[in-house]
Amino acid sequence: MLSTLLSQIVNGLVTGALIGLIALGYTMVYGIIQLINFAHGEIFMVGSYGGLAMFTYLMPTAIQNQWYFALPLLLIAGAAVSVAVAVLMERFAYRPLRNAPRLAPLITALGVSVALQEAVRVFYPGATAALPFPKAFVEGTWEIPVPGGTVPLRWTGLLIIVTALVLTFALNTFVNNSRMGRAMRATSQDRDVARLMGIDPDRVIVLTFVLGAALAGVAGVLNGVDLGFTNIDLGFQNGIFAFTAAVLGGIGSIKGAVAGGFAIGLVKALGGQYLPGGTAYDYVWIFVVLIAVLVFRPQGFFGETERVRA
Amino acid sequence: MSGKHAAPEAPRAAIGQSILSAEGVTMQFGGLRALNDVSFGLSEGEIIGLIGPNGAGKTTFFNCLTGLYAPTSGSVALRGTPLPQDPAKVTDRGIARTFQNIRLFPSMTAEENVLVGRHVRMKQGPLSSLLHGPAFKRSEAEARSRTAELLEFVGLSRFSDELARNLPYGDQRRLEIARALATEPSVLLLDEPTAGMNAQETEATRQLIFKIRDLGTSVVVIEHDTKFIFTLCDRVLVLVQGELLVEGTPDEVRGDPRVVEAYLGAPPDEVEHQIHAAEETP
Amino acid sequence: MTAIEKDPVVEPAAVEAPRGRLAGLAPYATALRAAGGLLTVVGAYLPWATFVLNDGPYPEKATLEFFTAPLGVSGFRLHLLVFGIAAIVLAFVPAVPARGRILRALGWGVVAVSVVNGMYITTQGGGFGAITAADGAVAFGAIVALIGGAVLLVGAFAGGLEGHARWGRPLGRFVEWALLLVIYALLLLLVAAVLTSGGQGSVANPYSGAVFLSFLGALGGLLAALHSAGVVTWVTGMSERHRAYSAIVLLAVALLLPLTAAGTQYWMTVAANIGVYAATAIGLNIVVGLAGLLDLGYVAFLGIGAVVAANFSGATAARFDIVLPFPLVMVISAVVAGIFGAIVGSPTLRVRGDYLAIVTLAFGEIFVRSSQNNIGGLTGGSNAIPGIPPVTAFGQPFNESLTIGSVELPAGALYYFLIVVIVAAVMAVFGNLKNSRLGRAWIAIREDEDAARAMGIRTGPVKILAFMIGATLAGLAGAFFAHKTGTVSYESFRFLESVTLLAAVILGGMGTIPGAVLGASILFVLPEKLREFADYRLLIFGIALVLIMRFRPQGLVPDAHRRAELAPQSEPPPPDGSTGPAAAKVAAS
Repeated sequence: MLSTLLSQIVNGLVTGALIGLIALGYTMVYGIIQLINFAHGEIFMVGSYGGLAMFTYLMPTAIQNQWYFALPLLLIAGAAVSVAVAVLMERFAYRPLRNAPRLAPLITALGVSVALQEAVRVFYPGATAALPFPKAFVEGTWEIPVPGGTVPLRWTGLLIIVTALVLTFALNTFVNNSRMGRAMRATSQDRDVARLMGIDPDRVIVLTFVLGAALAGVAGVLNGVDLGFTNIDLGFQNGIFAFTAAVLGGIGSIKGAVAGGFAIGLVKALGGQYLPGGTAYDYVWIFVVLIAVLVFRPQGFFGETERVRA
Repeated sequence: MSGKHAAPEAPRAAIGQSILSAEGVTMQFGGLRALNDVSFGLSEGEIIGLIGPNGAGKTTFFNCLTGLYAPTSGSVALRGTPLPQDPAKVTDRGIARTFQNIRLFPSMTAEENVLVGRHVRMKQGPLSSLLHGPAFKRSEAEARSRTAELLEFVGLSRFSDELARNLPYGDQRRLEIARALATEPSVLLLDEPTAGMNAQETEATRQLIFKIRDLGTSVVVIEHDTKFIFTLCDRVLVLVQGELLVEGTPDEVRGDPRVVEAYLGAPPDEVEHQIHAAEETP
Repeated sequence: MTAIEKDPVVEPAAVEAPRGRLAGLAPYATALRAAGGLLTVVGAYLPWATFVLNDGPYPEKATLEFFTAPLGVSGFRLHLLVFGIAAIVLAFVPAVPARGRILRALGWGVVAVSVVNGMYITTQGGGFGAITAADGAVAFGAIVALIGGAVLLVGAFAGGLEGHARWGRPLGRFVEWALLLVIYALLLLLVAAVLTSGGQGSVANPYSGAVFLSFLGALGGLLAALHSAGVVTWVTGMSERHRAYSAIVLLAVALLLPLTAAGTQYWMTVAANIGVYAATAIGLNIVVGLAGLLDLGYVAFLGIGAVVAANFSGATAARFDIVLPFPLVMVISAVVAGIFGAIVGSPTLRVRGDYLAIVTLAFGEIFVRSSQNNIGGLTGGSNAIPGIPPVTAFGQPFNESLTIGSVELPAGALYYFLIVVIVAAVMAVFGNLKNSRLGRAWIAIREDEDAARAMGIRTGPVKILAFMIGATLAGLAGAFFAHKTGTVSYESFRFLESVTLLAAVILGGMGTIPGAVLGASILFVLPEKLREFADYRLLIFGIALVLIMRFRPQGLVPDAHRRAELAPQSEPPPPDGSTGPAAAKVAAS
């Protein structure tokens, strides 16, 4: 029994780390331009196809089976593709709507999301169905012994958790200590004042998209490596989960996004195990959590309360 | 709004019994105390002015009076009955307000803006709205004729079908007053009704407020323009850093050295001079 | 509006000076316009394809064979001929108001028609040889017409654009009634022509997409020209003056569609499908367009209505063994959907804006996931609920054809009649609510929620009511949908369907009835017509959504009175005055 519980917790942590990586992009973009970037999930998905394309079309066969060569290249390719798409998206879809009423960018984001998913389906060879993804890491599991059995942890799962924590730490350091990080925080507080202080908000916003997309691209590749396949509909699902995580952690908060990611991962794993309906309903529990959080604690668990404007 | 009002500078209406009262209203935002133990009473037919430097808590006080904020402590009562903490219900009870930064419904016409103000005074259930029966038509006709009267009253009849956002600035302020009057308030709260107006428009607004008072509505006005306040109000309250500093007739307040110092942070003589200078250059 | 337009005669609108580089061409405007028209006419008479394409000869005798009957132009060539002649005439008749604008519209129409046909021939023929010269044959029709259109546009701009013409002194009541009758009859024929243009997709006709798109291009040009000439405004004004009459005649006209060229089983089915989504879109329009609450899970209410109806239909997979009469089922579906609407809407008490959109999305996803898992045995799960019997009245199943006297109604016509009545009822609900205390409260909330509360509007219940009524209407449509399609599956109610409905509302114009119907029609007719693009459908859809938000957020039929939620706020009057009424009204007053 204990081993089942712990196994589910481990599963939850792996899923959660992945969701947390995606959630960082949501939380940063929302923090800076108050946009729910629906298409961020697709940036994650595009990243996995970027990695796959690198492996299939560019990588010399000689190093394909040596993960310590292959994996970094996949990650770089995935992040690069995600970043490129995100920058184009920001420039051509969102920037023209910077001062439009809030519904407009949200609907644009929906449009971008649909278009990106379809663009991959139509133009990436074979993407109409799930494509096998190279398992470019140590395969197998680490059987952690616990009283009454063992708890399996895939090495790829461990990789995801470690990467997520390291990148979050790096991002947090960057935002808190670097000059650009300060500019980001200033812009998120008040764009006009930041402009007066000599900060170019457009540059800061692009940087925000770039950082979020790079993390999502890395997540996309890691997810592919872990699952052994990738599919165009992974973006939407994980995007929604990541958004939930970002809200749960308090939107705008970096630590919160990752904490929220772990919380969502645990809800999914434990809900699928212990709640009525089993795994068929694990998604439902996440959405229930999402609604409950938005209704009862919209500022999340790391965020500040929003005051009534008058 | 029946009948004409002959003399705008009519002798001040007899001050009646107390209508709105606040007892020890305190409003705390996190570590910031925006209002500290503010009490006041408004009588029927009275015009009260609320002045104070920026950030003194004037608008916060309005928000507490109208139920938009729940005061941390203290109470607000209309005719002795405590007010609910819900702006909609407060309006229903008879307190209407305008906003410092105009909050009209920009994409509705002037007429529709005022019609929205009729919301609480119209009897029209969802079913009636759906079927448009005779009762519906009667209530619509009644609301539209009241609206026309109100637009006439504030002098905006010609803009009836214009979108609110296309109105000149001063007229937007007037439309906001008409919209507030449509709720048939016994107390009207005006938040900087002359901000951004020229001398002529300011004077028109002063006459309009007198007319409103003469119709039996008590008025509380927030304003920075001290000349406007001193020539309009029966009593003036000075709010400084969330505290009620002085309360009295315009003459009393004008001469009070504490006010001058707190409000302008300078010795009295100099300030008196400044005030006059400010009054001369519009 | 009426108060300001005291003088409805043609206003000598100021001619806007031509812009930038075109200014130098102003003296040649008439010549350019005439030349553009002439080139268009010539283009219409030239061959368009140098050889017979793989899929067969291009329509309208475009492949040299036209020499057999040189004057018998038809189809897109007829459209070009008419546009060209109209342009030449307009170029020389100065008395026509808004001449430049009309010419610009015609120019765009010519460009659209020549580009659509030219590109089809090029791609089908395997290169530019198909529309220029190949195998010793020449066919420059597309290129000449395109140049004609471009020259026409240059000429239109060079001569300067005037404001839209305004005219139409109110005529006697009966004259206007008669005119409206004729106009609505023409509208019916137009709708039938649009529906049937190009036939039933690529199976029957390899060039159906081209024919349809070309027709749409010509129609767009024509409508824009009529709008510039003030005809559209005039007709709208007339129908506003006779609302009740217009409503009755339009309803009657809609019911006559089965007797037109569109009266086949196929088109009746398409039209009924459009009706389902139009009714749902109008319901969504209450929530989004009036109350300004973004709902991303709205299609779930259509699904709930359909599931309820399926379970009381007597289908084998139904959960209940009770078969209820259809009218009663509709009521139950609507009520159940309405209850769920209130539940989904209840977070509006605490959640606003984007977050509310996410809450509705979450509810929608919960519905999809639960029905996929056959929750409570109610939804059939991945097997769906098949075999739902058709609606039957007086022993006549609605999915079969019916002969009354000498009139034979095609199969599906009865469903079409039913959905027309449902859509009409939904429109009445929307229209009546919009012009009531409740409707004004919704719009006030959309405009400024805090100010609305300060006006005494209990925003919570009022918003929940918006969700409830919207959901009720969708539930009503859902009951119809279940019986008409015969199968209810969770697949029909996924997130993408909600986005499509939202896009229909936005594309058409938020807060308007014609907008929602037009939007639904476009989004559900285009995929029927353009099967050859089926693979790209969603891609185009996504890109289109982005482009609409960027370039025309107010939709095709913007709310004349109030620019809805999405229109840019406090924008200065645009230089070309294209944003119509609001700007024009200020100028007029």
